[in-house]
Amino acid sequence: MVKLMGILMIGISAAMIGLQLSLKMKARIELLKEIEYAMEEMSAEAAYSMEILPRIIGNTAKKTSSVCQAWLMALYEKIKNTGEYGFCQAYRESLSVLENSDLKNEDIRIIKTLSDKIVNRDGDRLSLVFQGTIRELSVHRTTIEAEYSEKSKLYRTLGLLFGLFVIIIVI
Amino acid sequence: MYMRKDILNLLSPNIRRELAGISSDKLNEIRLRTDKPLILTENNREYFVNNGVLRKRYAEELYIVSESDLKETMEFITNYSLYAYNDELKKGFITVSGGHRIGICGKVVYEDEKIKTIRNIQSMNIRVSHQIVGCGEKIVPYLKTPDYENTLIISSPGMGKTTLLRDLIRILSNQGANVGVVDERSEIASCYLGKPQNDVGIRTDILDCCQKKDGMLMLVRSMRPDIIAVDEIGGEEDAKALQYISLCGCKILATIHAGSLCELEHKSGIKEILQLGLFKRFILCERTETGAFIRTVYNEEKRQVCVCDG
Repeated sequence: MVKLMGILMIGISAAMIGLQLSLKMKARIELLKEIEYAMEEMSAEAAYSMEILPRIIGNTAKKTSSVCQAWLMALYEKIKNTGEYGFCQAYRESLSVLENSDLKNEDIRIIKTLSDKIVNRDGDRLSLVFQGTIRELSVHRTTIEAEYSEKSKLYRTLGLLFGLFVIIIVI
Repeated sequence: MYMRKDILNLLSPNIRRELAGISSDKLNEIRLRTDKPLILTENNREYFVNNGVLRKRYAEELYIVSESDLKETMEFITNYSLYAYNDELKKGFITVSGGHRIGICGKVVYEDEKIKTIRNIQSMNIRVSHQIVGCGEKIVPYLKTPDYENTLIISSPGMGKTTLLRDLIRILSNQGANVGVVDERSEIASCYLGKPQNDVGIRTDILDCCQKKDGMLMLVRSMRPDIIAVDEIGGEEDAKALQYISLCGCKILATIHAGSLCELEHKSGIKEILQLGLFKRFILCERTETGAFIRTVYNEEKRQVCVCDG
């Protein structure tokens, strides 16, 4: 009985690997969506309220959650007191929060490019910059979503098969 | 006394390092021009910077302002938000926390024959704010008989008429008068994000970056001021507005560019106002040969009432 339970646990653990890979992909997509939303918020607030960027980032952080919020708060903390950090430096250092998340390097590369584009832009061009980055993120996310719908089933199936294989081997 | 932290924090890290060790309590201006030496003006004298030391003469190995210095300085001045300062850019200057004013030069962009913005900023002039609290204390008693009389402050540029105006506003406001200020160039109260950075008294209402002819009428209609204060009047429109507010019962405190009372009498626009006898007191601001400031108060008959120094 104990042996059977042990074998089942090993099998289920092996199957869970596939499920976890699938969930990680989903989490990555959700985080990209949230970052896109945060950028839309910042772009709109910059255009309509003409508020300074540290306050916009602080306000947007409150409307987001978990990793995205942690990133924006890390950025806000660095730039809330003028003169301590240049914006590009503060932005790049804050990206360490995203580097430890479900995002991959190709995702962070797109988000990173925003720092050089935001600085010293007047109103019209700032709006274009944000919209450009949001579009790029959106296209990238759509590609990942298409991959996800193909690969998630594959990962789960492979995981289950691997689990069964392990059970058979052990038995 | 070392350079003020609120000024150093506006500058790029490289320039900050150069100036951090320099002691200066009478700094007037810091001029930044791309690929040109950094220049400081103190007590109306120019200095260059070399390895953290002020130099009177131009020489090699001076600190040269780079393009990235200007970009980073602009970032800090605008709180990383150039887009939020578009209205100020159109005027060619930005007022920052502490009341300092930064003049900007670059490529002017027009749209429909109006200035839209300034791009490719290649030089800036940081004018350090110095409020001299109390410089008007000795003068105020001579402006009252016993009520406050319409007063015109007269001087050439750089003689401290705006500094005196600011302090008179503060004193009169704290003594009980509702003072309305039309701060067209944001030099009197130096408002930053809506807050005056200079002490202009507890009963003072400020219209920031508003044209004088519009602002005076707006204040009269909405704020019931006892005194309206404006800087640098001149021109017919200002004169008409002054006449109107005088008829509404408001007192006036104003400044004007002129080197003497004689020059004042020939200034177009204001000549008509003087002929109406609108102003009862004139304060002439001058500088002696030794560099000391003196202020002479005259009555409506152009007779000297008092002379104050400082």
